[in-house]
Amino acid sequence: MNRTEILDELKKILAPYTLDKEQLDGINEDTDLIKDLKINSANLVDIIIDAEEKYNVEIDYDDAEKMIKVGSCIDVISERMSA
Amino acid sequence: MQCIGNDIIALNAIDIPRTNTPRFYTKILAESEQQLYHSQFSAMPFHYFVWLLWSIKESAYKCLQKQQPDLLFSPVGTVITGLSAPSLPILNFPELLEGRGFDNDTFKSVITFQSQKLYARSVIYGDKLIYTVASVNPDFADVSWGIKYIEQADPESQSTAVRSLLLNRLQVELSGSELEVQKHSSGYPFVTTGQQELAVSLSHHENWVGYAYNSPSL
Repeated sequence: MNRTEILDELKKILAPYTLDKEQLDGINEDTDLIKDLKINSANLVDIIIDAEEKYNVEIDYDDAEKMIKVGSCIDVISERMSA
Repeated sequence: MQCIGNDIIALNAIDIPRTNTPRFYTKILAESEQQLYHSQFSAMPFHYFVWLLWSIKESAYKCLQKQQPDLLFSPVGTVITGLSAPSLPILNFPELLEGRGFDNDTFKSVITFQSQKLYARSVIYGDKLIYTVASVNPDFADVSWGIKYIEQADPESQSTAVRSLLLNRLQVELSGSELEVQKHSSGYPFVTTGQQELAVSLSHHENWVGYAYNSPSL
């Protein structure tokens, strides 16, 4: 999977937690999950678990704390997929 | 700028079966905290314990972020090293509650993050919400805080409601000063009061909003 494909799948994972649906259509690697998409921090662990299930990877808490922007989420997922 | 952080959890919004899975709670609780639950808090539903600790950790992070704007939130690395429970549960919550300081009969916790120590007070209101305020100061006597239920839970309504609630309180406390809530580039809020900046903490989850600040000395 390349970064664009991961981004497309990630968009589906973020959708149920995103309170600003318009922002979701235009997300890019600089989009901030909390500031831009208005995702409540209480849902961050849900997103990590959904990503683990979707990509069949394990994301530990050291990686999880980096998942602030869409680009850093893709970094973590692609690193875990190639591990 | 003084350090303060708060967090609010709407208990009707949490996914209880998911919270109870090891895959979920091990991303929030350190090993020592899981042991703490089994040794001292097993009378409490486990999902309450997980979200109580989340709210303490999130509040501590918000507090530290004011001193270290680039800090990343590490739930498992932010460890609760002391926790005591109130003797009596609080069963109900009015639509609005504001206070200064906390009743002695609340959850009291000590948090360690790297070499730093923080303190928190938390309250669980029945099956409605968990509310926490964290500070580097163990004395909460000058901490002003408020919680309100709002009808609309979209981000704009939450943001408008929590700012209005905070500024109404501050305007009374500072007797008519011109006040404005602003945000630092890293995201934490503050209120400008003339020449001074007052650190505040805002929180929202579903239909609940909350604020906290250290009351300025007059």
